Parts: sequence; structure tokens; C-alpha cells
Amino acid sequence: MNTNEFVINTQGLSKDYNGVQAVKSLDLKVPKNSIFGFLGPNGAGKTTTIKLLLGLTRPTSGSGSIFGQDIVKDSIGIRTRVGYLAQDPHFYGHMTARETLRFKARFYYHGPAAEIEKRISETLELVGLSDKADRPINSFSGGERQRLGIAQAQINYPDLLILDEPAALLDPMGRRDVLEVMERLQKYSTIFYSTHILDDVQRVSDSVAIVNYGELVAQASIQDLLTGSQGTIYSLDIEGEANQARARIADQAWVSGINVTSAKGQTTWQVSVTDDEAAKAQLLRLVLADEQLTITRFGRKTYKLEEIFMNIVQGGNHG
Amino acid sequence: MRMQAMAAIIKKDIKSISDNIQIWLPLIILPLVFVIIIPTVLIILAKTQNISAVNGIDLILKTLDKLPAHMEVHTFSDINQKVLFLVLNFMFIPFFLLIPAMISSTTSAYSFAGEKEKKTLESLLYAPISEKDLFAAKILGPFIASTVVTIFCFICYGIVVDVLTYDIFGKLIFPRLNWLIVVFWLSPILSIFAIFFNVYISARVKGFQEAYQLGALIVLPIVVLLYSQLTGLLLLNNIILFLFGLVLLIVSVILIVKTGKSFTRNKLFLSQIK
Repeated sequence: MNTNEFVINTQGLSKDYNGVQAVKSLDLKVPKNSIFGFLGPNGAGKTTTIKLLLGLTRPTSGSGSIFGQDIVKDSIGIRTRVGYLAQDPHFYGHMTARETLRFKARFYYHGPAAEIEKRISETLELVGLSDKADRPINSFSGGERQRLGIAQAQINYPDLLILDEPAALLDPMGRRDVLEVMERLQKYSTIFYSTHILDDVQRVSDSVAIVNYGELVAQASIQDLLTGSQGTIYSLDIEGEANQARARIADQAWVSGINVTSAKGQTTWQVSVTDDEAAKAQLLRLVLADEQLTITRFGRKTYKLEEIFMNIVQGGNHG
Repeated sequence: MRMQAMAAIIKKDIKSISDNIQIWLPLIILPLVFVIIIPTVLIILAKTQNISAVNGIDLILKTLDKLPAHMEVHTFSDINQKVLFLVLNFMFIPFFLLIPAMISSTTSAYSFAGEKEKKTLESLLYAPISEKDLFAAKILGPFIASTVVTIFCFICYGIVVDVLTYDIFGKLIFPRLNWLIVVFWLSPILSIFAIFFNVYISARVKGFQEAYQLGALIVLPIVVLLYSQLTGLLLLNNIILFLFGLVLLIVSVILIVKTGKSFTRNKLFLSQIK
């Protein structure tokens, strides 16, 4: 991928707090127009990374850019094109949702008041808060506050939306609403969001990075991560005597291993392959060459993100 | 865009204060007492009684004796006129100075420590505005509030004094040059000093109440002035008023440099998450 295709690009980005490394040499690459899940357990360094990207705190070492602009030197310019929702957003309680957006809009727009009001109404509509636009924020539920947070982050039509744990504090209904809003916003912005809720990532993200103890331990498209984290594996449930077929498959150059388990007269093969195209074209045919065998299930093994996450995080645990 | 963003912050800060009764109520009561109630009571007293017979007036009478002969106060023959002129045109100055001091101190404590306490400062820190402009906007809100109220109080005080004393003196006795120095030189400088003193404090405390209480220390020099005036130790003539302003200005500049250095996103963000 060309460097210009990355909205966020960091090189060795690190941050120490009183000798404790919160972020360690992070090389993060966030593709344009993606919904990028920044995943990690609590305390992994997600929020610190976001603060570094926004210029709210300075890196101890390393560098980073957003839209090709340096995150330290050009942070004001960057912020004009970025929308940000904090992990636990705090609003001026005496203001209404509309007043909050009006206040925020004045940092970005010169235009006629009518145009700004139109933009505010559109944004409230987008996050489903039109009917509560003129109520004081003090009366808002957690989900409504979070949607207002997204609205204020979206008021300037940002090219990049950074959301820090947007659904962490919400009940299932609130989470669903926030994820729906994120999906709606993808057509306008690249969305970079941190979370530790794996279901949310699997549902809405197209790319993901996993951090643990401040280190980047995985970075891939969600599809690659779910299918190819341990090499491609095909899974087959077979009925019948399959020793000959097994030997035939094992002889193939593109097969790196076969794991066989049997239960209740049914055999399951996990075939690890090195050439996915060859496996797709030949594997099933080679097995079925043995006419006495019946295949009851065939497919590429897919992992749940939770499995991958636990493997990576537990594998990388430092004690 | 810079000015528009700064104006948005100033407007927001002033609205936050005006929406909070706990903040503005004391700020209304203080001027009301010093600008309307006490002068009115005093003038009515002077109209209805022989003021030299009032308990505790000795201190003022002794001060009158110490005043240089060329002063305007000696042009009046009646003791009530002399006392009224002295009190209204000189002795009220320290009381009046409490107004910009308290307003600046309270509003800036609310503006800085209040935002820190409510954790709303973060939303300003990631706005596309430079630290310098953000700092200036946060300073200007309390300064504008203080200046507007001070000038308004000055006008009200002038109306009360001139309207109620015209029949006593047969002329307008307010304002004199010393009051113009107080309102347009000393008060703005005192406001700036109070604001930066509070910015300095706010960076070191957790919330508004703490900043508010510590910020009240700003009245101590004014109390000293008041005592000096009442006892005749120091008469606030024009030169002293000007010099007092100059000293405050120098101290304010030192505070501006000191607080300005700590007003960085990095430091403010760290103070926000502590």
C-alpha cells in the first residue's frame, strides 16, 4: 500500500509516563475509508495512543502523521480535519444538544448562520437526537450522551473520526445505536476507534490492530485476521474409511499438515495449506476421488475474534 | 476563524457564569452593598444627623485633620460635608476595588478550576485552536465580565452619590481624577492580577471551591489599603493610586510569564487526568 493511502501512519511512536512505557514503538497504519478497530485490554495504551495522535500529549520518541501532517508540529491543522470523541465525554451540562453543537461549530465555520444551523440539524438527525435537540444535556442517558459526543465530533465533516471506547459504558441498546451511527458515518469519514469489546469490532470493523502492554501485536484486515491468523486451514467432516484419501492429500506440495479427530463414526480433518488457491481448486476433488467417502461439511475454518484476541494477548502476556 | 473560536469560548464562559446562581449571586450582592446600600445609608445619615456625634467617626475626623490644606475637602465648611466628601471620594476606593478583585477572582476560578473539576477542559484542548488563543480566550472572559461590572458599578455609584448629595453640596462631587485612575487604570490591572493569580492557583488545586477559597487571598492587600485609609496612615492620592497600579502590573507580568509557560496542552491534559 502507498503511504498516501494511510490516514494515520506512525513510526516507532512511544510514550513514557514517569519511566513507565505506556506506548512502545508503535507502527500503526490506518487505511483511508476504513472502520479501524484499535483493540486491546484495559491499560494497553489505546487512549494514550489517541492522545498522541491528537497532539494532546507529546511522544517520548518516534513520530507520526495524520493526512501526511506531523502530529506534533501540525496538530492544529490536523485537528481541523479530525473529529474526536473522548472515552468519557463531559459536556457543559447547562447547554442543550443544539447549543453544544453550535459552540463546537464556531471552531470550524465562518459561513452564514442559517447554513451552520442546517449543518447542526443534519448532524442531530444523523445521530438520532433531533427530538431531544433542545433539552439540557443533564437529562440525557448514557447512550444519548455518547451519540451527542459523536455528533460534536462529526460537526466539521471530518476526514477522520477518532472515537475512544465509544460503546464501552453503554447498555446493549445504547451500544447498538452507537454502532449503527458508526456504520452510517463510514461513507463520510475514516473511523478509527478504540475498544475492548470484541463483538463490536467483528461487527463493524474492516481493519484491526491489537495492542497489549503498549505494543502492537497484530495489524491486519479483519478478514485476514479471522481466516489467516494461524495459516489457512480447511475443515472437512468425512464419513467412511479415509486413510487412502488422507495419504493422497498429505502428498500435495501445498499441504503443510493434517490434524485428524474422530468421534461417533465421523472423522474431522483440519488441513493446513500453504497455497490457498491450490487448496480451493483441488482439495475437495482429491478427497472425493475416493467414491466411498461422503463429505458432510467442507469449508475454510474461521476463527472468532475472541479466540484470536485471547491467543495473541495471552501469548504476549508478560507475566 | 481564530477570533470566532475565541469569541465562542468567551461567550460560553460568560454564559456558564450567568447560568450559575451560586457564582453570580454573591457577585451581585457585593456591588449592591458597596455601591448602593452603604453610600445611601451614609448620605441619609449625613442629611439627618450631626455626623460628628456618630460612634466611631473619630478615626475619620482625625484623618481629616491630617489632610494637606490644598485639598478640595477643606473648601467645605460644614463637618458633615467634609466627612461625606472624604468618605465618598476617598475612603470608598478600597471597598470599590473589592468589586473587580472578587469578580475576576471568582469568574477565573470558575473558568479554569471549574473546567478542570468538571473535566470539560479536554473538549477545548482538542479543538483546533492554538494554546495562546485558548489561554487568551479563557483570560478574556473573566476580564470582560469584571470590567463591564466595574464600569457599571462606577456609573451607578456616581449616580447615587451625585443625585443624593447635590442638595448638600450644591454641585456634583463625583467623580474626581482619583476615581478615573481607580476605574480605568487600577481596576483593570487588579482584574488581570486576580485572574492570573487564579490561573496559577487553579493549576495546583483540584476544583472550583479550593481555587475560590485560595483566590480570596487577593482581597488581603485591599484590606491593608482600607485600614491605611481609615487610620490615615496612607491617603490614596493620585500618585499612590498610580504607583499601586504600576506595582500590580509588574507582579501581573511576572505571573503572566509564569502561568503562560505552564499553559500547554501537554501539561493541561496531564492535570486533567490526574
